[in-house]
Amino acid sequence: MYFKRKSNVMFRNYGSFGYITDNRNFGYKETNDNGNEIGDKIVSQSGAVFLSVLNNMPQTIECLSKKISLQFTDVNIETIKIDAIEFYSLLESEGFIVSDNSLLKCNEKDKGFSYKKVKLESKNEVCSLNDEHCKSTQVFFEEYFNNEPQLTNLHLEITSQCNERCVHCYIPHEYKVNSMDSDMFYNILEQCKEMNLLNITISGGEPMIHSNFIDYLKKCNEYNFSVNILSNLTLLSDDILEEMKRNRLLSVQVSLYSMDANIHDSITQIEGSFHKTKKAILRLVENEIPLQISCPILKQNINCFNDVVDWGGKYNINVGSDYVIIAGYNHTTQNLNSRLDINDVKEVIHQRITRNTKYLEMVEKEADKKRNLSPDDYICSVCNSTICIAENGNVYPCAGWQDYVLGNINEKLLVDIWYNSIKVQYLRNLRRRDFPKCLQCTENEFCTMCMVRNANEDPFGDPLVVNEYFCNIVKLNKEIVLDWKRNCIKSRCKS
Amino acid sequence: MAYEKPKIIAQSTIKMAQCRPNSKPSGRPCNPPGPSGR
Repeated sequence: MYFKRKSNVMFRNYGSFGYITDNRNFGYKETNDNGNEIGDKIVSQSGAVFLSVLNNMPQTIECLSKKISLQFTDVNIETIKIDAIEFYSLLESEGFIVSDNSLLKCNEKDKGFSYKKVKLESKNEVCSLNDEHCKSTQVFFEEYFNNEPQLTNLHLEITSQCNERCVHCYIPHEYKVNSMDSDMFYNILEQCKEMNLLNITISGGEPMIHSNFIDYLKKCNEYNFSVNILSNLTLLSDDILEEMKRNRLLSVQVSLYSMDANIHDSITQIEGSFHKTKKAILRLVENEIPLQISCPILKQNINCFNDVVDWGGKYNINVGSDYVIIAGYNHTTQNLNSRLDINDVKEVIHQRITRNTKYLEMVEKEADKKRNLSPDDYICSVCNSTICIAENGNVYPCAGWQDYVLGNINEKLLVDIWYNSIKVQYLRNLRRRDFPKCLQCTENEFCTMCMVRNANEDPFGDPLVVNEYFCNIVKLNKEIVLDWKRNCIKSRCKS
Repeated sequence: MAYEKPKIIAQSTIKMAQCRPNSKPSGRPCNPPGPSGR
């Protein structure tokens, strides 16, 4: 009997326990054969040994048992073999492992992502094992590390250079000049491995401009990191595509603004960019590489962004459309000239309501969740599980907030910055109570606080100065929901 | 290391973090577009 870890699964050995997870933070949700989401699990110390001997190549149970037995002196190999089959089979039923009597079939069972399957909804979002096992992994980590934040996600800007000039970009065009050297990149990856990091976002600028892009992808794959690439895809080559196909922990995010080439190109300010991006998207779909289209809604495409949503839908591509634009990190706000005004936003919301009859119910549901938040709740994952590194080694809190420098990787280790930087600790300790105006706001259940939105639009870069533009959108959302509820009551009374 | 039968001690199917640093729709660093118009 052969066993292997599925190629879209990550495992981390912490010594006293092990952590196994699917690639859920990126792209599309995946389900096991029972239709349940795969999710993540903490296994015991011996469980970590059992999982650490597995990899992406099928191995016989005899070979695996022998490797495991090297770690234990007080048990015979037959017991290990029986326990291994039971343990691996349990994890196979949960979607982390595959097995078969034939090596070939074992590999065949390790099926990759397919656009043909993405419409399958997960039937069940709760744990499928007995309740006694069901402490959540998040609670386990918090208890084990005594609430000390663990870095799980890194946003890595490997170059600030870009071959497009998108009008709304938060990186001022004059700063798009440098790339990260390979020594720095590999050094960061080594440090991430030591820190048991899971997910790396490779961004730019345009990351495919970097001459070492393919080598960087290979190294991420070797280290079992999941990788999300933010790219305009205009530089997609056969070699890049081949490497992407090899990496089952890889996903891509691309911006497409309109199905009208002139409108798309007027936003990227590069003639011909629409045709290149669209062609590359179709190549990724054809090769079953998970892709998400982001469609920022600007004044230029407010009348046609839904064409992108519909076009993506035809190919089962996940499309996110969004009117939230943050200011450039040099606080000049020039990039906001294309941002929608409040009447435009109202129009977009009404379009969403027309296209999705459940939209307002969803808004109300989200608001319900936020009503339970307390002043002691944290703001977001910034410096709690995520951090960013720019091409010059500057460490900063989140994408778009490059001028809030927390340290530099040339001077200090990432782990040192993560645990000891005064600025990291300041951001990490911020809570909802640090925004007193927001706590008293009667619309706050319709708001998601975002510090970089505040900081970039404030001339002094203060993340605590609340951005009024977004307050107005929140008010608008609440008004629309209240109107809808009043109308529902009226129509119920009539009937 | 003393041998113990391997077991699962915690699990979940929910996201570990609400904020998705990988998501950059419209130049916005976090949170995929939510229905609340964030």
